[in-house]
Amino acid sequence: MSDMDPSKKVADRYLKREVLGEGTYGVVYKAIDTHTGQTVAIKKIRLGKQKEGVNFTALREIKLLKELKDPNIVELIDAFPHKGNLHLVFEFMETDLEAVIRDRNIFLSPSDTKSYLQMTLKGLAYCHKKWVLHRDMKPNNLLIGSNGQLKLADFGLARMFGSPDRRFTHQVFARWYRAPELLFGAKQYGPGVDVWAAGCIFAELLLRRPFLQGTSDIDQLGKIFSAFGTPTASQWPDMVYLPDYVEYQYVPAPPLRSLFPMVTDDALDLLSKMFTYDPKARISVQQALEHRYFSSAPLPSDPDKLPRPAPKRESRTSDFNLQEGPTVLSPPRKSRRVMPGRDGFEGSSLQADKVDASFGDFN
Amino acid sequence: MLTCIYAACKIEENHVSAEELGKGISQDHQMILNNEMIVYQSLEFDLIVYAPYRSVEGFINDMEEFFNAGDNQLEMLKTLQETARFEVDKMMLTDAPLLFPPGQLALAALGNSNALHRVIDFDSYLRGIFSRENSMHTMSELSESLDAIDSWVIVSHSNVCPLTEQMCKFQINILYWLGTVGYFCFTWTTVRP
Repeated sequence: MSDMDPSKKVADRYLKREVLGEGTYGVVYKAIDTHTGQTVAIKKIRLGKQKEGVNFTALREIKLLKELKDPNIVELIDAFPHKGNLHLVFEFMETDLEAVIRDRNIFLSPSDTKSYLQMTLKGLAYCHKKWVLHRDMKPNNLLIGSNGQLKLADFGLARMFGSPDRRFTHQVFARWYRAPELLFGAKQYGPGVDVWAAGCIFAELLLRRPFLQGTSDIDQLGKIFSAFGTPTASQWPDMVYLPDYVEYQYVPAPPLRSLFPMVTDDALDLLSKMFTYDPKARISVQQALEHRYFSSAPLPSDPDKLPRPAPKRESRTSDFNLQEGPTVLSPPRKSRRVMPGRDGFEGSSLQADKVDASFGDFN
Repeated sequence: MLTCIYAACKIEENHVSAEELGKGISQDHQMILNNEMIVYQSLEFDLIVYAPYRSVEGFINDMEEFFNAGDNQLEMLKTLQETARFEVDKMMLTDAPLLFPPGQLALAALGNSNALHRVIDFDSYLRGIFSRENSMHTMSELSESLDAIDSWVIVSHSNVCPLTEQMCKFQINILYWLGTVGYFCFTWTTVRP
């Protein structure tokens, strides 16, 4: 009996459709689960040439997603090796939050923004409750399903926290979403880093553009301090002890209202708490969900009523029709979903280089 | 077995390269890598093993605050922790880790360690946990679990012949040497006397 029999049977269960995107570790394509009729997304991870066997990000994703089952976290349905590659089977998600933010044909009402943020924080709250840091929160890792439900995806940088003496790398998150303590080289950190990134996503939903677009770590800190003022010792007593701490010329904080002129007082209050410098004083995800922003009018939109980006043309290929496959409408956008750290806009090459260079070093 | 050790180190984020492993054992490291996927597939990709070691550490830290420990007490808590780790080592050779959550295993280990060293008032600590945490469970339920864990250790060890015990200790030493804090190869190759 050949080794290939069981894996071949598993692979035959999934009927391949078009490619959805391509990333650092392989291709993601759409497929139909012939057992359930469900549409799935299969991430194919190359194994053959790896010096150290199965790659870490794939193992992390499998290990952690096996433990995380929540309406706001993408589901890992299956995993199997086939033809020398590792295949991860996920529920199919139609689009991502970045596509929504970028789509100028979409108007996001205050209710819509509130709904997206709430679902983001709910997914994150579940992670933190299970002692998992996501460490790569950004709009194109927030996938949106056909029912409008937003789900956290891409757990390749995630890991467990809570052991007091464990040290982690500070080279996580795409730069624009990286918390100041990470930019100062902190190796011991906690869920506050995810909250800061979620704050950046909140700001991006409000502004419809990335909030703090630094081109280097120094520049990123500079832009943070321009927005919130240079931190003082009374605000953040421990900052001088961080490994890469450098002193910046003091500038006072401009009014937050000047950065977000059209939002409610509750939204401003929540933003300021998410962007608190001292990670120990920063609001937790659970506290954020309990903030009056979410209970005051207008209430969050129902997910199924949220606006959608222009739908990709549905495939007209059928089993009885040999016409060509669907037109790929926006190749660059698709690739964003599986390219950690790379974005289609300003600073992408620097950012990609930065992230890729240290990718193998994540702890 | 080498592939299991390699995979355990990798999954527990204490990576040891296959080349180093192979060097240490005079084995071709490619052999280790070639079998890696088979190990994961056999486990059905259930890769996390919850061992009580970190829970023991967490409870010790919590006790330091609960008892407002001074320098002398800190030393005694350190001793308590060391003995508790040996208790956990014993548990890992039984089915108890497959039946009870790590927090309860850790408390059972600390309870036994404290019975030996008499460092703290263990019962008052347990009551303190319940009063702090608004638990949905009762003290007596926890006591039953801790007693059941002890029974597993006692029953299992009375059945372990000396040779098997020596082999297990040798394997544990390898794992410690490699810095692994997980024991997933034991859940896969559970020792049966």
